[in-house]
Amino acid sequence: MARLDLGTDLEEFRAELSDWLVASAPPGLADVTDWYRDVTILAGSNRQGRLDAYQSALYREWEAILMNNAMIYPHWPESVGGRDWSTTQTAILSEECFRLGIPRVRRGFSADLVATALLTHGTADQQTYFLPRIIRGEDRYCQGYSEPNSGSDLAAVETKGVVEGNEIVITGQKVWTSEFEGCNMMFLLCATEQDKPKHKRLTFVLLPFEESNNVTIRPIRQMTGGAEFCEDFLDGARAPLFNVIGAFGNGWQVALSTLDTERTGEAVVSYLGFESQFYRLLALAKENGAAREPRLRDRLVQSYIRTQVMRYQGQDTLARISSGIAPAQHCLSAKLLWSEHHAALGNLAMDIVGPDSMVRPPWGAGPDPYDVDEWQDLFLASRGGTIYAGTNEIQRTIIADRALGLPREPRQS
Amino acid sequence: MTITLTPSPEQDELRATARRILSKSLASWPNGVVEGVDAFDEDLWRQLAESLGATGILVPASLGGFGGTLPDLTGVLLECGAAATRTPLVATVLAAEGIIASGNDDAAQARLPELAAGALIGTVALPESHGPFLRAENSDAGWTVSGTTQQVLFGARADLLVVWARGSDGPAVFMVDGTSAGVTRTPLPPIDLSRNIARLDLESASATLLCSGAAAEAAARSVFELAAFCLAAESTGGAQRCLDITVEYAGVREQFGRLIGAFQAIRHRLADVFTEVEAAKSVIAYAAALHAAGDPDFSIAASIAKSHCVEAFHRAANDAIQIHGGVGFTWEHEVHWHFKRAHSANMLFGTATQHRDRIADLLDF
Repeated sequence: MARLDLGTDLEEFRAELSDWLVASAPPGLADVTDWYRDVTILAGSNRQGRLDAYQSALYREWEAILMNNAMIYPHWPESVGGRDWSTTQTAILSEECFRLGIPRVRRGFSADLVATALLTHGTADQQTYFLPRIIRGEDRYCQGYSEPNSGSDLAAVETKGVVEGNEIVITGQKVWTSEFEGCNMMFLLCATEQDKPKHKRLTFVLLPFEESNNVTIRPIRQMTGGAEFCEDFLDGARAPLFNVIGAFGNGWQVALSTLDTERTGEAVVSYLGFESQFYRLLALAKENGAAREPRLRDRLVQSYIRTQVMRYQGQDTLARISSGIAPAQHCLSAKLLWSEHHAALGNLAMDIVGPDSMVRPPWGAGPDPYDVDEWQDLFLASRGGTIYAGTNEIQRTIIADRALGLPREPRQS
Repeated sequence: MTITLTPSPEQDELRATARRILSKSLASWPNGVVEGVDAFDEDLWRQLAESLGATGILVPASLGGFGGTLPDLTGVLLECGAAATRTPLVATVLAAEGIIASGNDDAAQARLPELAAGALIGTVALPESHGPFLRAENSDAGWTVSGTTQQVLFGARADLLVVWARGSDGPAVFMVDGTSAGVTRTPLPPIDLSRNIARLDLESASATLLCSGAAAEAAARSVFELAAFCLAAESTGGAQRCLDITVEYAGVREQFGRLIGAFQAIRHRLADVFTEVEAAKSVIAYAAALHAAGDPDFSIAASIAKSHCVEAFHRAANDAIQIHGGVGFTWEHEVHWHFKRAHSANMLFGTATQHRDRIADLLDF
């Protein structure tokens, strides 16, 4: 398989890193599970398997080794527990871990977002307090943006923040919080400056996310049967003013910076997950003969081409980062590509499985009363992919604005 | 095996020069329509061949070429696609590739310098892409080739034909002079006025054997894949052009007191075109890089490119017509040229669907 030419220095770096990973990773770690099976934030039918894997002794051991070597988020500054690595170096870490079938240890996808907020808008004191806690796993974040009346229109959040002494007191409701289990912190947007214009009334706060802090959570059961999101009721939840990032009224700017977070190393390996998922479906189609049916065969190739486009664009992004060139505009369409690929692959999977796709796995096969198999789960869960992380309609609007420079739609302020 | 995806300064420069040359072609739209079925933009052809050396980019330097790689040629093809040029550039590049891939040194030394300089117009006729195999016969007087090939790119004006024919020893590659006795070149009226096509009837036309057997099959594969890539690259340039002019139009055309580009129906449709065009550009850059590295995965990448890029082009041109409204449906507007080019790009050297079938075969689906 062709690999990007990153120059001698980075190739030496790769070789040394790879040797270190082989020497340091606990034997058997790669066999615990397929660490790269879940390609989106939803683990779906693989949820229990994923939880078990993360609780295994080998994973815990690996976590400690990476932590001791500042390799959880190596691209963060040394002062906060990173190694000052470049984005490319961290991407190489992701690639080599994938190649060896061992996991990178990270603290949930929300950690990348809050780190961007802290590194771009936080004070030095805030950075050195909060970031090492994330690395050590003491603080695990979830995201508090969406509200019942504020989904795509993020700046319309209604949750209120009021200053009382040296604390901010937050009241309101958040929803669609993903990866909420095990979280003890939430980063959120709340309205503090009621008399200011829409985008200047918001403040970005890191909130202790605990029942004792007047936070109540209620899991939301999805159409897949699983409950991987929750809604959160904040009834006078308190945070020290130290936890306000980027000043009062500046929350929209801080939130925007997190939305532009480059999930370091993710673009480089995410296509690998989509590829292996495609090959799992192909194996099934070959086994049951569907791959010989011309129409299904053509759709399989179309899906394969989509995975290759993601590969090419991921590699191009890495090439640009490593040579200091501005990211290509295709970064703006990445979300449309993968989410629509996923929905199409889910449809295709059902046609490949055929009428059996109507039947769920036998009762009692798993802990959930609505267990579905991997392909049923993809078919259902991929309906969410075109909605979360900015609906595809919002993504198209962003492309029209930023990439194409089309005249703006009229907006109410 | 490592690849490089970002263009070098030299490649950027080459592309910029091509754009300068082609800007005249864009300014004098529509180019070359009225001159007849076997005409083309000769002035532009001379500039591309002589000033830019585009015909010789892939030809070794020792044989009068530039000794370059496919990423060097890619920028030129993207620009030619954007300008919807009517020249035998791709046909000639493919004829040169046929000779290079045959590994016949005598033929290479005899003809590549002229092809590289654009002094000769070349073209190819592949089995399957252009009808059944021609028949080859050997006698004391040498080889002759007979049979009919269809839809040969710029075939009516080609000085040099590289053709595949089957003799008693199996498939073989031959060179035939376009003007030699026994060759009848009939221009056909094309739906796409920028890509001339012709039927070639050969009747015991005298031919030079380049190679045979497995080497001939390998050469056919190599030309077929390069052809797929070239048409995909031109299509990508054309698709980008369609997107650009439509975005521009949507920014000046007003209806209901608003620029039409401010309507979500238009914005989102163009965002989808953008997504497909960006994908096409990535596919082209990656495929070219694989070719330059000599990576065997180019076989699959060329078919991915053909499948994706011609479909992206069709969609970009189709949506450009729709968004331009009545103006986009007129003969005077350039967009129908692109729409028709998307069609010929799809039909030549294997359709998008056929290339997907090829991918499935190559990957053992």
